[in-house]
Amino acid sequence: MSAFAAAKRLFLPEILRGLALTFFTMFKRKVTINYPYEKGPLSPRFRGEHALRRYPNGEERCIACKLCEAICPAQAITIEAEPRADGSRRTTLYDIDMTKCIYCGLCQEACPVDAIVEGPNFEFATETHRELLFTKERLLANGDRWEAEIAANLAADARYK
Amino acid sequence: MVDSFSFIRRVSQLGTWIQTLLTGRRIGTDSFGNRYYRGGCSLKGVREKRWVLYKGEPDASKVPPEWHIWLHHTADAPIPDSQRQPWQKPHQPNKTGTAEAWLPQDFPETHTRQSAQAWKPE
Repeated sequence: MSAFAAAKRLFLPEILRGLALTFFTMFKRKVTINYPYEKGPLSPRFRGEHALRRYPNGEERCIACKLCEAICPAQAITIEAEPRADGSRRTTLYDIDMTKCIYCGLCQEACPVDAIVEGPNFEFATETHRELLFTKERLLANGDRWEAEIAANLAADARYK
Repeated sequence: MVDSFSFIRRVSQLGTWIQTLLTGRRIGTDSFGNRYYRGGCSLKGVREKRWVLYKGEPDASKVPPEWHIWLHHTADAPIPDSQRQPWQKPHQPNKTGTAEAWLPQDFPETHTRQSAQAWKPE
């Protein structure tokens, strides 16, 4: 048996080819990111945690038309509505079961007043199921906390709508 | 308030600190004391590196939305605080597992629709 045949028998060419691949990969650009210090790119259209928005004067946008409730394919949204003391129609109850939600974005597309939106936050994982049952209070608080970025994302995407 | 975190998590930050010392250019600091840096490749078509050194324990949900949009490469600059509305609330990190974790009050087991009544067979 020649030396070359012996090397082939021992899979040496294959091993060297594998080692060469590993070596040259060292000089390629890295695709990993150093989370949580570094984060991946997000589109302005990213569909994350839901939020109920307000008008610039602080009035809540939602008019309880229930289009989001009707279109939700997972039936995650529950709405109850009543006229408020000043006669305007508002929700008395706006619940989203975030464990049913499939993040399809149909609710924000159905909304005629840009009230329900899917914000850019995706770091809202919880330890219990109960914490993911969002009520109107929580959704409005989400909107009040994330409004700066939600408004900027909507403005960035406006010309494609 | 300085939240404590373990020695191992401090040591695990070492690589990020060295990267910051060697290549980091400071962009700014948010209202919580997190420091933001950028650096790395300046070639055309290659995304620059943007990263954050957290104040206290590293927790990705600590980034407020003004800087979140920059850190995620959605916009080229953070949103200035001057655009804030008076009704906007300060950012809150993910509180799950702590006493301040959000819990719904009347949802879902005891929750019933106000306008619907259960059907009672005659």
